[in-house]
Amino acid sequence: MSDGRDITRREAVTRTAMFLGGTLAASHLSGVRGEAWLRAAAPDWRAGTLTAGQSELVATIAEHIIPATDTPGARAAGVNRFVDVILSDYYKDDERKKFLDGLAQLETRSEKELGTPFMKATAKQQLDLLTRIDAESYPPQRVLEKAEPMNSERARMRDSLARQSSTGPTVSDPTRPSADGGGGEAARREAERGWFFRRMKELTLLGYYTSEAGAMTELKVNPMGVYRGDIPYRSIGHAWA
Amino acid sequence: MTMMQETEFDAIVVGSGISGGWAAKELTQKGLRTLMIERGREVVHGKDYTMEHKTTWELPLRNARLSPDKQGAEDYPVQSRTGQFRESTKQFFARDTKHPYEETKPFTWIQGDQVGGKSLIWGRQVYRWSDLDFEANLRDGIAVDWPIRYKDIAPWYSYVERHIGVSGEKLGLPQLPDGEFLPPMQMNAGEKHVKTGVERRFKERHVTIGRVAILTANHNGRAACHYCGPCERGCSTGSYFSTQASTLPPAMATGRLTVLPDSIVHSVVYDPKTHRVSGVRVVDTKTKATREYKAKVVFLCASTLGSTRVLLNSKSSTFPNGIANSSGVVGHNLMDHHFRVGASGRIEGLADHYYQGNRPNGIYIPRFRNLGDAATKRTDFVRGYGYQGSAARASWGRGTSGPGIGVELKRRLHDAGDWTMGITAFGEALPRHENVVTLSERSDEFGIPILRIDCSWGPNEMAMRKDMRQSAIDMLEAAGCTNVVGNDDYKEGGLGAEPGLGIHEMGTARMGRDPKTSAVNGFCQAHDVPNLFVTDGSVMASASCVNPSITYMALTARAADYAVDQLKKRNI
Repeated sequence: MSDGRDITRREAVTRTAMFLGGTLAASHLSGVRGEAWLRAAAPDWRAGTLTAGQSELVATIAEHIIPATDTPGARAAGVNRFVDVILSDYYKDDERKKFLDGLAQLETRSEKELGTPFMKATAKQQLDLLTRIDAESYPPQRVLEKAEPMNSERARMRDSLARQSSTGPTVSDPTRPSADGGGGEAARREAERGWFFRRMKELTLLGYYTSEAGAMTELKVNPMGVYRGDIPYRSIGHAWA
Repeated sequence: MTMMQETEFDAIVVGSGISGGWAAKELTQKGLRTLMIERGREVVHGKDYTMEHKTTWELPLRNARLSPDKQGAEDYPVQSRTGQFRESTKQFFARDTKHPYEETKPFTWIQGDQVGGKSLIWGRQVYRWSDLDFEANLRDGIAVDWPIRYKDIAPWYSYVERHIGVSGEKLGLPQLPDGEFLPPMQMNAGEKHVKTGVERRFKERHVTIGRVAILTANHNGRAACHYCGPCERGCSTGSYFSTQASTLPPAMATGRLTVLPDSIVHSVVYDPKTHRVSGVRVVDTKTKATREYKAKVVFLCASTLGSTRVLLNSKSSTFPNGIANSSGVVGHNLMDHHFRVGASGRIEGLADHYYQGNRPNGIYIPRFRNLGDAATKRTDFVRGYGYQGSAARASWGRGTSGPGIGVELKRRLHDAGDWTMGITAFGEALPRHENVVTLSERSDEFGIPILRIDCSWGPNEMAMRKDMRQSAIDMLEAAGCTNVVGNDDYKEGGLGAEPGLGIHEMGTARMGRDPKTSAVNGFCQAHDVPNLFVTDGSVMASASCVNPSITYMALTARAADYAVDQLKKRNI
């Protein structure tokens, strides 16, 4: 029920007026997804999409975004494996390619600015570069809202509230285009520049805070049992995962 | 649930959702040997709730929304339009490629395909209708007058509430009659704050906790809610209303119920010699074999559009346009609630407050427009709307909204963030003849013609939406919220707030007094065929602005009582 759980973003929804007679890909949810999860949790895990080098790169970036402190960080939480599941079993070809291109461009930029492949740079060099990229990746909120309304905090919040209210099977609907967010070709172009890093950070936070380490060690899952509507914040002292 | 080879019963119930479960319970308890036919698969209470209580890390995609642009929605181009279609709930939605339809204009038909139907995934909000609703068509000169009034259905609301268990707060409002409530769920600090501000500024408006078919105390052998949160994954403790939790057990206990899953009804069979229906024709969805079942009385509870499809496809020389359709109204006047319009804003000054537990409910703001007096009268639209919503504190998701990485980010996200309140309006849509469903020339894989749906919002809905958005802004601002932003997701000709998305489709076999202008009478009995009853949303003559399901339950129980009485009197 937390905001930001949704990992999708707004895309144009193509409408087809007629659903009969289309080519039907076999649904591969239960079987393949189940296997993917077992794969991701197994000690002899092998990525479905990422090469060993890419997987290590993702794990390293993720660990810089959410580092180990007195609690585990993104690497220990298996964020690279989660990213691989998303790339393999969730994204379609174009989105997967866009993400992998983004990873490659990070390498190019590392060579250019640090004079070394990202993985060969020192931890400080890596963090400095990522901090620069992070600072460049967030155009003003209004631009983001126009280009990717469902990546905006406002839209997330609305979705989270709607979902929490559980007022009907359809109250929440995070990725549907919103009427006030459409248009904005210029905004889309401006937002495009930071796309990869924003997505990487989003997947890192999602993968981390919905993992057992993130949801039970760093934070806590809001427990079942009773509902107490108004309690002192200090009696909990942290956000619910 | 024995699968008998028997083909003759006292009663046949088509559909096993909210209405079908009630029909089966009432008819069996009154002594009728009943066959309940469900087109979808069996779902066994408890055992088949495969996603219940799963942690996020047990879900490979962490319970992602399966939207049309992602993998996993390939066979669900319509179902995936609702945000409720997720990794954890996909198993309770119909495959669109198995149950297709045509839409002339955007209309999202969300369908269940299992024993229990959509009772497994509904939002469980329950609000009684009032005479403001039952007199609305007469007062406005729109469509046909309801043949019943609140006093006719009030005892049946009570009967239903006592069985299913409804938690809520009594308000004493004429436009939203109180029911027989279990203790209300609690509001959180943000919601209480907004309630105070709204009620101080607007004397005629009220903010109350949602009235919901979820148990706040043990009830009829079912345990109180344990606040795990996502009811839509299934609830093995039966702490809510679903067919499996609430109506199927007492029906099965009579020993008179036979459940027939994986069987889609092709048509109702009419016997011109007796002027009665003799039963139904069924297609086995696995073998495609056709079979007939006979009964003295047939209840159609297949959902509004499902039952309408059966009626339209039950053609005979007596009823060339479909059974119970001598009036020609069957298929017309399709309605839904129009929503996805409202506002959200930040609540300041409650940093010391939090909540614990996952409350499957929100707040409700009852209708305050056009209540029949001068003060609430609008000149720009008729009817009204209510709001549902809730307040919450932001969590780690806010970390995606701006720059920041590393230890600083992790420390910041350890704490709960700002409070935000959001409210979404649900508005009444008018019955309009031109919003119509017909049979297509094309058939599904079972040889049954599919529906063609032609439905859109009209000028009254569009005028109402402006007020729904503005009133939401006004109330949040009155409550002292900052950064208040209004929203309206409607897009002309596109997806966003199209009809159907509310999953409150109604009206395509409406009730009325006159057989020339309505399909069924006030007891949901077909004017044309006395032993045929329709007791789901298709009989609704207007839409109200409140969630309709409990009214289907009450109408079904009332119709079953009447049908059994008529059987005893040998009138049908």
